[in-house]
Amino acid sequence: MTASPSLAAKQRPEFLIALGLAAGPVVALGFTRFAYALLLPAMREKLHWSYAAAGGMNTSNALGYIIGAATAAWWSRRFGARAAFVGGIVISALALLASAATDNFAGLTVLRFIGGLSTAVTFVVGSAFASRVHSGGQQARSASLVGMYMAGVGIGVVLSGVVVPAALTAWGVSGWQAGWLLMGVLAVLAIGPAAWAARQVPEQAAAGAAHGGRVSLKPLTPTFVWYVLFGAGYVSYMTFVIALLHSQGMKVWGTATFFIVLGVASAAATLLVWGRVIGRLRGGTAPALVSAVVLIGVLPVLLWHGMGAAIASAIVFGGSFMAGPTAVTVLARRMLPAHAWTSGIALLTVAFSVGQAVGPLVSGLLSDSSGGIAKGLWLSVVLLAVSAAVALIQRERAAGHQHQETAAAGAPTAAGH
Amino acid sequence: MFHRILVAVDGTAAAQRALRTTSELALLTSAKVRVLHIDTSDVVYDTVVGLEDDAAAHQLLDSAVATLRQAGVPADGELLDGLVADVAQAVQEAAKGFAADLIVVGPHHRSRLATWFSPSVSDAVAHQSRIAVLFSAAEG
Repeated sequence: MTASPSLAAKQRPEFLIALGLAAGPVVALGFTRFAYALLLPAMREKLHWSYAAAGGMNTSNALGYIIGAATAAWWSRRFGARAAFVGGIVISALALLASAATDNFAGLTVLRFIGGLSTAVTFVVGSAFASRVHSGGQQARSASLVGMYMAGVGIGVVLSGVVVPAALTAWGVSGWQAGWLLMGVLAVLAIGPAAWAARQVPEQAAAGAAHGGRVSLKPLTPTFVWYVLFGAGYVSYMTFVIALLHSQGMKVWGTATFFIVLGVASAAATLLVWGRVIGRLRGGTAPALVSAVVLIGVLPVLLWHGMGAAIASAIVFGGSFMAGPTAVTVLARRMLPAHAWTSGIALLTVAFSVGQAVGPLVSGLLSDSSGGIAKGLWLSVVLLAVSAAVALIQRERAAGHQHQETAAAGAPTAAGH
Repeated sequence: MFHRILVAVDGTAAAQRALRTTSELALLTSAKVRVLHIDTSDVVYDTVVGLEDDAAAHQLLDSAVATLRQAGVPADGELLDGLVADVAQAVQEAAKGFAADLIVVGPHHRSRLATWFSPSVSDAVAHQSRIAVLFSAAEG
């Protein structure tokens, strides 16, 4: 049986709209957040930074992300969701371009902060857009379209894995500025598709406005602690792994291959694996498993040198680090009542960002000590191991499945929730 | 015999067959029936995505209850929100809440690959249930 022409015509724009929206995470997370790892060794060498100073750049980025995530709904209400989404990409693009124009440490720190803020606004508002791309009967398609949007993160990692090494190959360590510049230009080019896609989706009141009675988040305490430790552990690796590979003698295109494989693995695993696995696990088992797999992904580059270890690490780490937010969202959804979902998940995001702010700084300080950068990355291993143990303390106390009113069908006689 | 039957419906042909089977069985045993539909959502990265339109979910449930009532079966409906991974558990909870002595489901027959992406609710209900579970016939 073949699809009718009208159905095919309807599906094509939805696919294109999701891809257009994916330009948001490409710029926000792929370029503005993660690509810094590729530039860190050259910037550190050229600008004579300590590892702590280099890590501090990502601390600044994570602090910006906290502010952006906390205010995304406000920006959306104040200027409209489309303007907030597209404006976030524009600011990210400007921050990327400006990063190419200065070697001043304070200036770059401020730009990393602004980039973190715009990343969060773009990503949060864009996620809400992506979940509204499809409307009507066959809503099951919505999950695939949101998955396509999320794959933008991996696509951004892959693209940066091509353009940054190209700049570094052409200009050596001085190419870090060209790296930012090239990503800035690509970000400017991404504004058009993103703006077009945002115009195709109905604008709606910003998510995050739902309020209800006060709810204790105490039962989720182990998950909050896990998320801080996980955030610190994974981002320490993500910040410094290219620097580690560089220190082990790997050339620019070797680290680029590593980064591209990591990006592809993250996009594929986010779409195909983790949603199913996490849904089947209860309590803290899912976050513990995610920590364990990410930890296994960190180990190869610490235990062995060479391309084989790097690729193994890229596949396992890349295929698992984005599962953390999925595990937390599923737990929050199961354990919190409906009116507390938005606020509960927002507070968990803050915990995640706090970990991401602290991790690179502490890891950088350790890397500056006698053990070198490997010592800093062993911090990732320790944090991930502790986080896995903490996650296992989490018990699941279900809030119960939420009832909807079914007037025409008659009220149920007994609910038991 | 069965006096309180919970039938889970999801808008598929298999669910329609489950509804017909439930109707015939309830008329034979004078059972009360509760129709359960779960308005599912899924988590993609950190975003909860609704997989069904709320209005469509209400309509589906109302239609199923009306079908049973027209056949002379005393029936009501229950609509729950839940993650797609938690549907089987929600069916168990609803059966407990209704004090059901039978759960009727319409199994989907799919490839192993398809089952990986969308696990079988019927299998999970059968494995977890402490009360009788009836799978409606695949055809007819």
